[in-house]
Amino acid sequence: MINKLSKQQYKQLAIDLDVIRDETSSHIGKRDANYIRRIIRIQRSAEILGRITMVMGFIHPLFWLLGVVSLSLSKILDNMEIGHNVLHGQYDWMNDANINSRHFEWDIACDAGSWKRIHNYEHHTYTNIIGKDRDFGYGLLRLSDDIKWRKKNLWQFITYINLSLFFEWGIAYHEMAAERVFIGQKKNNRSSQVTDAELKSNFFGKATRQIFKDYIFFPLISGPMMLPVIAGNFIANIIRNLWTATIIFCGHFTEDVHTFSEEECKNESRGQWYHRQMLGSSNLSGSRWFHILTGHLSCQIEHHLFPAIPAHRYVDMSIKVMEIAKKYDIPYNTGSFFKQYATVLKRVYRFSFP
Amino acid sequence: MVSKVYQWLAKALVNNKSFKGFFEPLVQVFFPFWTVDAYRAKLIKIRDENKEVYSLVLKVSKYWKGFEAGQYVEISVEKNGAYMSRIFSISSAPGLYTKSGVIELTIRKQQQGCITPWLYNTLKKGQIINISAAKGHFIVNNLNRSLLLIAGGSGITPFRSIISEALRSRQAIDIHLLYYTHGIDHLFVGELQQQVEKCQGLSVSFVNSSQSGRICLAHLQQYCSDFKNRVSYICGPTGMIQATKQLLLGSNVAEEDIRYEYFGPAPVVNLDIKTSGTIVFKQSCIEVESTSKKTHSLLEIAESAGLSPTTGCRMGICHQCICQKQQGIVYNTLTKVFSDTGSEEVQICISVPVGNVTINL
Repeated sequence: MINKLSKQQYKQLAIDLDVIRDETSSHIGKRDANYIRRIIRIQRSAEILGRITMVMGFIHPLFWLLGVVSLSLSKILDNMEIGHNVLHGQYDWMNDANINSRHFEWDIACDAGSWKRIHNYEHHTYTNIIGKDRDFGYGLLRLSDDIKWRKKNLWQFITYINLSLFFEWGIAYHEMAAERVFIGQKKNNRSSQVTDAELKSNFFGKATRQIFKDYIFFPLISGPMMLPVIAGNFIANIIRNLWTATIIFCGHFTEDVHTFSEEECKNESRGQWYHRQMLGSSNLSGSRWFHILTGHLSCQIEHHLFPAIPAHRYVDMSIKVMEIAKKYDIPYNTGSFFKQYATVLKRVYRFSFP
Repeated sequence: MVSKVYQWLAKALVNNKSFKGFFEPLVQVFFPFWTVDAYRAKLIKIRDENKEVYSLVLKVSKYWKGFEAGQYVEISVEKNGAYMSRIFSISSAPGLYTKSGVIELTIRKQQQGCITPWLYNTLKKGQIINISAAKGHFIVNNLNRSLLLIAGGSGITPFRSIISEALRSRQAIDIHLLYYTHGIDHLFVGELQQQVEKCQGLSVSFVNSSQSGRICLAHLQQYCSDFKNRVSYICGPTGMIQATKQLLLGSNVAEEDIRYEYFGPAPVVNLDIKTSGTIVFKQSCIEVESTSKKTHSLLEIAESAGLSPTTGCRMGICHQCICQKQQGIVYNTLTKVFSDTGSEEVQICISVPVGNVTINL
């Protein structure tokens, strides 16, 4: 069961975590700007290299393979370390029009505006509150006993594999609250800033552009390499989908992650909010390049505590956050990728049954 | 049509407003700080005008579109990873630019400012900075009329350009410059005196308001008795512009004969977040006086003024409510940091205005 803290302890917890945040904030500057610009340069180079070498597959198939790997890397960097973090506003202070949460658009089916609305707001504010955080199970999977068992949950392991393979489309559909827009289901506790018509046009606009790019434009200009390029782009998208889905599932759906009810979280204090973020997230340990490829979602706990701090600083911050977790006896959920991922699979399987 | 297709292609193929934007970070490897939306200018030298004022002498990129006397540019530099921008009037004449591609910006080191002293101490000869196209409507379009130019402090800068250009035009001109400073040296004194000697139609009065007091009707009558028949141009601190405008209107000068340009917000010295001020919501054309004792976020002020900006978490996390602040200082209640005075994007749910703020909402 969750270890509740006293009112005083919650207050002190908030102060302690704020100190870590402020300490890091005070150092944000040139180093962070150089870092994100370097990652963007690597991503852009990987994309250009990938698109070119894939066409050169007619010289030797290895070129095609290199192209697929390079384009996958580009898409992963673009979505994870660049897109996700820029859209969180981590680099807004740079005043750079192209590295900015208002203008950034990413190489994924879900349009940035819709994603910001749902992910940054619903998911980050109401993390793991059953009924409010629609990201918990994405409305497809039953990952806790708090959710009523349905027959479809019996085969949810297969649903999970399909979701991972086509994750970008799942997200795009999910973030526009498609069941509401298309089918007309209404939930009374949700108000919307945007009309259904806008949501639809954003969804179809972005989807058209993404399909045009990967399956029409680049294949067509590749002449005889058209079919291999379509296949390569498709595989690159799948690799990116599998990677992002897997990493994201490791962040919130590992075995020991806690869930919350709406009643528990009414009128919660900032300290309680912090507490919930720590209990509702889990980390992955790994090397520097691993952290970068996950967009530092390997430090999911730190990301949920400090969503606006440039993510590459989370690894250093995690040492201090761990000390604080120890001080208040809050479980700090971390482990290697394989260990954590195994518990995710276990969870998906376990809750298939009533 | 072509540009629409181009934009759509850029959005589809590189998820960017333009292809240039996609390649910008790569170009920056070779040309640091290169951006799509700005022109590049090379710093030839920093010239001290006096202890507090300096001029940046800039050689501007050949793609820059030129300017008219009285216009300003926005310059932008990178300070600790962040792009910072400021607006300055061009103090040199367009003639100098057409001859040599050089423009000058004359800048006072604001003691509380975070950019103007920093620029002076950090910029090196040969360094590249970004400048915008010239902007502004503070220009003289009819030299046949007699002019009264009223400058306060650094407000002299556009007039230096206007006067030099008027002399170069070799037209018969009638210009009187009434130049106020408060307890500090006048700028460009030697240069102005030379110009007065060379040109009959030009006269200059240097007034030190710490001795003679602020601008008043007696001053106008004393220094420029026919001021009622002239077109007046005023540039200087906000209070001075407002007072001068009232004086002229009170003397039955027609409103269309009074032109003025505000000099941008001065840095606030005593940062008290309960300071009252006017909040201007630009797009909605609403002005709100914030005078209440309790501090309110820009979001709350906007909502109580009947606006409904996009919002989300209302606690600084989701970044949905970000708006362009055009000028003024805001206090970020989350980071506990006061913003810069210039244009930037702010999260309105956690921004409390300090004094006058203009927001693009």
